[in-house]
Amino acid sequence: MLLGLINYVRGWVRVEIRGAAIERFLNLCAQNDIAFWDVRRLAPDVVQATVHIQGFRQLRHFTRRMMCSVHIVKKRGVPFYTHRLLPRVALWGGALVCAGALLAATRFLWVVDVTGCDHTLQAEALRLAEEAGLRPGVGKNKVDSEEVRSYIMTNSDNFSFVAVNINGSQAQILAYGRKETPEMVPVDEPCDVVADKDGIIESIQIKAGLGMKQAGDTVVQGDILVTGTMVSALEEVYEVHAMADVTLRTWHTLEQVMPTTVQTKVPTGREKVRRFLVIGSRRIQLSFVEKEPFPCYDIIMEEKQLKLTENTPLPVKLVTERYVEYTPKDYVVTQETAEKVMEQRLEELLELTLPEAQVESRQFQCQYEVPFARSSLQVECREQAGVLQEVSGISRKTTEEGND
Amino acid sequence: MKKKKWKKPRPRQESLRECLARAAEELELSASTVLDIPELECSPREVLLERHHGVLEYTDERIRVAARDVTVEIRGMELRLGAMSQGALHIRGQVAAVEFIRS
Repeated sequence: MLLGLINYVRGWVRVEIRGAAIERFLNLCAQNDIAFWDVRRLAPDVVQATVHIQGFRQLRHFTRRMMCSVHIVKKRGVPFYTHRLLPRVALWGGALVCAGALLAATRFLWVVDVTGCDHTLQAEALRLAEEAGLRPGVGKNKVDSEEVRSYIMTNSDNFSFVAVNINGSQAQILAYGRKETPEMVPVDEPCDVVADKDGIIESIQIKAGLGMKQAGDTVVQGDILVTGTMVSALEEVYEVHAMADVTLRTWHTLEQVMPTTVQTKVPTGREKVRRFLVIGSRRIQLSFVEKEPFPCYDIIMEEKQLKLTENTPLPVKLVTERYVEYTPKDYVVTQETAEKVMEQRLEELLELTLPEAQVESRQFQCQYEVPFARSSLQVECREQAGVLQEVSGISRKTTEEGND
Repeated sequence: MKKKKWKKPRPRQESLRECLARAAEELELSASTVLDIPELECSPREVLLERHHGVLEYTDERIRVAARDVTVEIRGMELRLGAMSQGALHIRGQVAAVEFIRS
């Protein structure tokens, strides 16, 4: 395989040698460093062999000496193709222009990509990068990745980490968003522990401060669970940084409504495809589809960035638009399906709204009526409760009154 | 009668090739490389002959190749020269026998 490829690149000629002393002719060739292969005897005085182009040029010197004749049967290889294509100036010119264009295209950045954060931050990172001079179509030598990184970090507080990597014609911005940290009360500042939700206290472990509630008490949001204002046996008032682990038993009700009749799309199987190239802001149509191909249809778009290699994208995008025809059809949702769908949705909603709650029991109810089905999910949870809050005036006042 | 003086017989002079062979043996080198002896690798489908001196006869059933001191005869069916260069010869086909004939 490899040898065949090398021979193809060098070029070979299949020759027919005719004469009385073919063996001597072959020996003479071998002695003069003319290598040949695939020698086949066709007749007592006829042999076919393959030689390289250079070898073939030397063969004729020996044909006269050995009284042999040599005829070309076949010739293959890159040199022959090159020789055939050599007079085609336009082809070579086009190839040269293409190579030049490709070389020039690799000097620019064509794709700026942001990863590591959500869409909002991605848009912000792209906007800031553009302000710093990093945008598709800009020359690679005009972009200083360190400068872009500093600009993004300086002009936005939403990022905790930003890195700008330039690979080939692609710039990749790796940006991590800053997570909002809860407002912390310094340890040396006095504070209370306050309930942040309603429920019944299941357990309370006080680490510092004075407990205002105990297990089994009902609390509502804002109730002081542990106060940081302490009164000593000598009736001296002093304030501490209250700390406690409080577990509440809470109850939540989630509700969901869905119509019992929905409109579905039944594909007819017919579709039309429109393709076009996007070069910069220009669109070049490759296939034509009328403006409204079907009465009811969906458009599915696929965008593909053309690339020379993985890190060398071209400034061309191939966009495919598929127009898929459908027929609208009313579909009556059965009670069983409605229950299943709504239960699933409510579970997802529960996961979203109470991610840290430990669900103890749940009760799902569904009321199926035309035109709407209503459902509710009642859950009993065990949750950690209590937030730190600066020592309230009320508590202080109450304590002072008590002292008096 | 004058008695002929007995002369101690002179030892036979070693030829250059014998010297080389001995030197190669001492140096633990392959004698075939030093002495230009043909080297042959053989399998039922192909024969590779190195250090040959040319093809003497070439037919589908028999190929005779000249080498130093010997003629190598390869017999078989559908024999053909796979490749031939100054130093090596590659024969393909159904090899039945390989024979060294001392000249």
